[in-house]
Amino acid sequence: MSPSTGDAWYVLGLVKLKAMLVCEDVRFEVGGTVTLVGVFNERLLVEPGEGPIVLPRLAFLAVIGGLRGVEQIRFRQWIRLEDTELTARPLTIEAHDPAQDEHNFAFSESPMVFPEAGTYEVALDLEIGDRRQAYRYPFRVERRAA
Amino acid sequence: MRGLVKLKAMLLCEDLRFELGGTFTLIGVLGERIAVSAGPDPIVMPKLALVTVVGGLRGAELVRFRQWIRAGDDAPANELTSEAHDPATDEHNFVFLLSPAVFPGEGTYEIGIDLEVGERQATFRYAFAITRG
Repeated sequence: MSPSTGDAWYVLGLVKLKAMLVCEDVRFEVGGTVTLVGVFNERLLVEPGEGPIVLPRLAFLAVIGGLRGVEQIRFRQWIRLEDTELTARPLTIEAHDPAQDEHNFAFSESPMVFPEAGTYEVALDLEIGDRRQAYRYPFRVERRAA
Repeated sequence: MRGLVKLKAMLLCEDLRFELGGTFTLIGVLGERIAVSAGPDPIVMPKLALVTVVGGLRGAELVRFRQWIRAGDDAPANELTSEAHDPATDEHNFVFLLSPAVFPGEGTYEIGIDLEVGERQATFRYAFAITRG
C-alpha cells in the first residue's frame, strides 16, 4: 500500500483544513472543548412540504491548522446557492494565539432559510498575512418523500 | 468510479452519539493539545473517539480501512476491515473509539486511518500532543 495524503485541498501550503462541518448547533464548553450537535453529512433531509425550507438553526464549523506563530486572522464566511449569497458576514479580524496550531471558525444562522431544495455551498475565505485560502463545503438540502 | 477521496473532517472528541434522523453529535471536541491533570503515568482517559468524514465515495459499495494510533514510528499492525457504503451518498463516517484510551505518558501521538476504495488508497493522519496541566 502506498498511502497518499488523499486530496490536495486538505493541505495547501502551510494552512491545513482539518474539518469543515454543518450541524444543528455548536457549543463552546468550559475547559476549551467544542460540542457539535446534530452533524449532517452532505445531505440535509427535511420534512415534506412546499415553499422555503426553514431550519430553526444551522451552524457551521471549520477547524484550520498550521497557524502556529500567527497572531491575527482575517476571514469571511458565507452560504450561497449557485451565485446567490444567502448569508454573508463581513470580513472579520480575529486574534489567534501564536502558541496554538489550530483555530476554530464557527458561525450560525437562526433561523436558516433556504428558498428551495437544492445544492448549497458554505464557504470560508481566509487571509493570514499575505496568504489567502478559500475552503468550500457543498451540501444538498432535500425534502423527504411525502 | 473516479475522482479523489477527500478528507472532510478529522476530529478527536470525548464521546459521540448517533442521533435519530441520521445526524451525529460530537461531544467535547479536542484540539491538537490535550491537557490532562497532574498525576502518575500512564495517562488514562475514559473515552476518546476519532471521527473521520471522507467524501468522494459516490458509486462505491465497499470501503476497506484500518484505524490506528501510535507514538513514534510504530507501524499499524491491525488488518483492514471492510464496511458497506451506500453508493448514492458521497460521504462516509468512520469512528475509532478507544475506551479507555491509555497513553504511556506526555508526548506527541498520531491517530489515523488507512483507506482503500477500489483501487484508490489514502491515508489521513491527525497529530496531537498530551500534556499535563
